[in-house]
Amino acid sequence: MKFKKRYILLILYLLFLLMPIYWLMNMSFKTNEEILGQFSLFPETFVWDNYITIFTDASWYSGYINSLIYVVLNTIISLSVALPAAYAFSRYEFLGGNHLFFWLLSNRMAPPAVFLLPFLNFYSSIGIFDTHLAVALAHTLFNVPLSVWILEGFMSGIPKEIDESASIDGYSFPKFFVKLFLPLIAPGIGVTAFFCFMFSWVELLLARTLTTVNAKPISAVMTRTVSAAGMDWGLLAAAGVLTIVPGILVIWFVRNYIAKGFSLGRV
Amino acid sequence: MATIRLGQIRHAYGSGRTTEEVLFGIDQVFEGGQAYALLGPSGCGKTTLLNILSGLLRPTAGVVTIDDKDVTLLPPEQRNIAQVFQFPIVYENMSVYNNLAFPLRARKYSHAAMKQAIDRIAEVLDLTDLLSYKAGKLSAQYKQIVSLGRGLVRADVNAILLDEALTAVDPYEKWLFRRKLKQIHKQYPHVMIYVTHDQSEALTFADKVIVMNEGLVLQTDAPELLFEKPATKFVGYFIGSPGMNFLPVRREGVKLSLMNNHLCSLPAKISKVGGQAQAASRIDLKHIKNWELGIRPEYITLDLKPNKTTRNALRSANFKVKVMNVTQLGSTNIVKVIFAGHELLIKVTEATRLAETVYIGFPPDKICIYGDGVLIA
Repeated sequence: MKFKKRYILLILYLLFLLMPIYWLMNMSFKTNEEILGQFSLFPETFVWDNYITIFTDASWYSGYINSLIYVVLNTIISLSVALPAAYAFSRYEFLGGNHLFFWLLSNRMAPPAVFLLPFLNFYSSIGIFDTHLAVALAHTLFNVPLSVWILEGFMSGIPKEIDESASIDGYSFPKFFVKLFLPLIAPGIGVTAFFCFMFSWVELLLARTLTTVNAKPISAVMTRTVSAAGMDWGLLAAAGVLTIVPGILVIWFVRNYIAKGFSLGRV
Repeated sequence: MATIRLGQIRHAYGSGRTTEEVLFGIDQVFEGGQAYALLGPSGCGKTTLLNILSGLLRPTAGVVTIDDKDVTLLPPEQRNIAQVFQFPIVYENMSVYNNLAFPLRARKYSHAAMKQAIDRIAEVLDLTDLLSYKAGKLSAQYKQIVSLGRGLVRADVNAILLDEALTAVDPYEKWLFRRKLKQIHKQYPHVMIYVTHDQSEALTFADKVIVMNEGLVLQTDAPELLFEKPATKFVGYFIGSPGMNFLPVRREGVKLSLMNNHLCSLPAKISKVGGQAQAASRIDLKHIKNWELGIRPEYITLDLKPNKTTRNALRSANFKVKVMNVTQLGSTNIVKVIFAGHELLIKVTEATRLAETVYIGFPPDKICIYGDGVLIA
């Protein structure tokens, strides 16, 4: 195939984009001495030690497990709350419906730090501080509004006659919702789950503040790696690589619908 | 044989100040095994009535019964009524087979019975080759046929409601599907109601045609009667192409006359024949202010010369009129004439010879008499 000039910019763009990720991977396979000692495009002494440490040391892998637990928990809670809400917004007209719908999104406009203090104090007083549930619940404050907006967009794309038709075909509302409606908006649910997952997975401030030991997330573990022997660069890089992996996996599953998700389900 | 009855059904959309009434007390009986056509101009309440029958809408007032069981408050899934909408509704994520199976699964059909029912309907509607296709990938026409199939697949339904269900189907295939619908309907004792604003569709499809306008049922009759004896002026005008001609007539005592030609005599007390006023029955003819004669464009006789052989001036072509214009419709021509200051349309065959002035007559047996817009005789 003939090389075309217009590819040059594209290749440069890819290069710049992949550079940090490549460097992260590069570092994760090096020893600390090599990282600090010299400039090398490839690891001269290729080691798996960093990864082995993460998968064997409980203080590291429990960070991933904790993160995954509250992220999944948060995604489940957000979806189960947002699905009925989005259905109501897309199908019924009720007093103040439009205002409520918009107000929901305004929840996302406040920075998470604003809610730090109330959450900390409230969760401590009801005794769920440092649990997975605490982080999951705190994240729903941001994920539920977004989920409602995305799902509403997808649901509004399904004509109301489908509901009526199913009812005429002999399906009660719960049966219709589970057997017909959910499969119809499956892409929407997938994209919504992706957005919930990603927000919760990368959010650092609330996750770190609302946990201490039992539910300490990986992002918090990573910020506390300064030991007596100094920074453990290689270990940190390996942890970074492993943190990107779940995101890549989730994106792969919903890759065809992400654009629609970013437009909140409105094509 | 399910019989569906509507008792004084009224319906209004919205609430409070923005209420919009669309149905004004509808009494109607639908008998099993009969095909009905619900005919009326757009916005007359046809679809609303249909949705009340199927349970998608709860009427503001009135009762719906199926076999004497009150179902007014029951949701659609408990009424066992099939409805096909104007626009194709398919479950896009399912195959055509699963679309057709969907209503059967809800009724817990056995696997064998389901397959048999689907194969039968797929064969009639020519969907056999498409059964494994994803419904979302079909063209609009096939989607419409699939939704039609989903409506027809259940053999045990009380009624099948078709809301202008053939809109998305190619015009030249419409008659084919209408025939298929009739063919399917003949095998089962359910009520079939076909909503349309196309009168030729209604008149060819139905055993009985229900004409609606502005939220009221004006007439329920066989297509021939609808044509020969329209219950109100609206029905006369709405059915037929072109609609019925109307001419004011004079009443002197019990005698009605047109241009000094005796039309007929009325008894002093008469009953209105048509419309919702049937129950009001006997009224004094003095209370009726406007008397009119209605005659179909097809029935007015037309000649080039006055016909003096019969005594009856109305029957023979004896009124001299001026031809205003002629519209050609292929095998027939519509002649517009001015008769005593009123426009009349006359439908004649292409072969009929015309001149600037012609002689027209009104066969007495084809004349309908209307008092204040309602059929009297």
